[in-house]
Amino acid sequence: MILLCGIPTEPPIRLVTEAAEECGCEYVMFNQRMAESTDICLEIISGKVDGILKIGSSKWSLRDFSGVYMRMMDYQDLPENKPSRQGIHNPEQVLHSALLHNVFNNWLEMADCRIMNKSSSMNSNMSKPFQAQFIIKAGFKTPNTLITNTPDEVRKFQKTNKKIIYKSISSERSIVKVLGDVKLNELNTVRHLPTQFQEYIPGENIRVHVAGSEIFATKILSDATDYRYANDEGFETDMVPFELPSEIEKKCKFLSKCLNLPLCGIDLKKKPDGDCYCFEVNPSPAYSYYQEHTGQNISRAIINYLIGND
Amino acid sequence: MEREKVKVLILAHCGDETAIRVYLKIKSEYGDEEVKLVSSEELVFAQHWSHRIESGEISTDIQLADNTILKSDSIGVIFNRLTFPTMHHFNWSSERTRNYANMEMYALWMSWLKSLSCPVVNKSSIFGIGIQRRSMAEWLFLSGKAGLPTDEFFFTSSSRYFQKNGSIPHVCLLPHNIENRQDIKKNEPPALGIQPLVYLNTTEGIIQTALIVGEVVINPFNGRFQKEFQQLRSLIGCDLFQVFFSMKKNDPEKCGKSTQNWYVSGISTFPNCSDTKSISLIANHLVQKSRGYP
Repeated sequence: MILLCGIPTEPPIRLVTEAAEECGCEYVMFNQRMAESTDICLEIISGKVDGILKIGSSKWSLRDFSGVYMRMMDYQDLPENKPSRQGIHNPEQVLHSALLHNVFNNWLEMADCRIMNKSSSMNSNMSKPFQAQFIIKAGFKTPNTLITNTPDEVRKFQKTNKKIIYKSISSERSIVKVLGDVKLNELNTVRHLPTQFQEYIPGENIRVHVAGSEIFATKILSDATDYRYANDEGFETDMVPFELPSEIEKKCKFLSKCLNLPLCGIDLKKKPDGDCYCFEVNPSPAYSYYQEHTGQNISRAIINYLIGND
Repeated sequence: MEREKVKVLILAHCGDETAIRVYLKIKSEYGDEEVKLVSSEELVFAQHWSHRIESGEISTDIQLADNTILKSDSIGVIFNRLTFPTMHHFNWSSERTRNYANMEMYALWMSWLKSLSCPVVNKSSIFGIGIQRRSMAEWLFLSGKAGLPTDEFFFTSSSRYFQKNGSIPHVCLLPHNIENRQDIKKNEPPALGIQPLVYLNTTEGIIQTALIVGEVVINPFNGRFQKEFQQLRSLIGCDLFQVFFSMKKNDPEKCGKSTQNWYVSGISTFPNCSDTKSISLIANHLVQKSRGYP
């Protein structure tokens, strides 16, 4: 039996649920929005973890689960937990929701079943250059990168690398932008906060999803600097399945293993000369966006991993 | 003052007594040239930061306000006491901007500390920049896994549905989270309503502390648990930590010599020490570690 945690209508959870039903896999859904009807107990004795999950009137031992797919929103972002004009809806309900979120994460850090993904493993994404060190270890090329608070260093870096982009260092989402002349004039602001600059790598964007032992590559056809925001830049985006060279496939699997992320979205760029660069690894990928465009059955691969059928 | 090489670099927040004592100890024994104490503020307000990844190589140059230059290949060992940066110059910005600035600096520190070829005590990892942020439940799990006698942990989100079997030595109410013991308020007699509860042993209030510094342990139990401490060190993946032992309230034997009544009630990867023995041990460990590096 597997456990799915999140919001059932959210596309990645919805697709995994459908895949579980299609292959007749027994599953339990913990709907984060229905926290009030869920309870859990967790017991730790002499280095062993046990517990019970209760949803409505049904109960399961935590040891019954062979795998867990975790895609929970921060409890504070759930509409029922957000303060309204009348104040917090129900403080006890918010506390209950917070504790469930907390205990699920705690349990998964200790559980020995298959987990996509542990919250600690997702932390590598808190620092892009920290994560880049694992990417390099996996044998990938990474773009030349400079993090600095010195405007002159940026100017020199731009001179060497011609076209450069800037983006956040941390997991805070930022839109990747090319550093143009106008911004060059504003460079003095980096004195307040070291900022990340990277050589611009031209080529085709490829998103690779590793799901257990299976791998799916999708080529993204877009002229935008950051294809996730192509519409904002007035560009269109199309996606097609792509066959990775076996050497790159091996590197992607190794990287997923190094980061302890059995499910991850790896951002690659293939240069016109064939060189392949790796930019970052998304530890909680919205794979449904790619699956719905290409028909690649990533959700089934997730189920295969969770039930140990890989 | 420009330095070519720093044998022992101590990174700490202001007021960190352990860091200051270790600094003074190394300075008194090995001289001023061997050790440099740098505050988190000095890192935040450094004149120059340059963290580069080029052709798979990572290098970092930092120039502090006093003109000290820290190069990644010129440090012998780092005593890392950093927890989280505070970007004071963003104090008047919106909360969102302030959080963004703090997270960006944290991400830079995380990468810099991981990239160094010299030993870092404690190293930066997915659990934190040096101090490991794990839940109380996980610490007790790891301690039990290492074979140490450990406090039992029982959490229920609703005492109406789940109650602990057998004797209940202690009941605590959970007001906010289960991250650490200090957050848990005692609630006696047991409240058995619908509220969340965590069950832990009642302690006598006596605490014994073991300090693990690499393979050496300052052990209050006459050398017992050596193997278990090293097993725990390997599970945690860091060199320096403290293990707290408590005694059960109803134990008749209250002298600290027998180990059978003591159990682990907490672990910290950010030891606060002031005694000469602990400070000397940490200082010696750092100096030893720096050998073989620039």
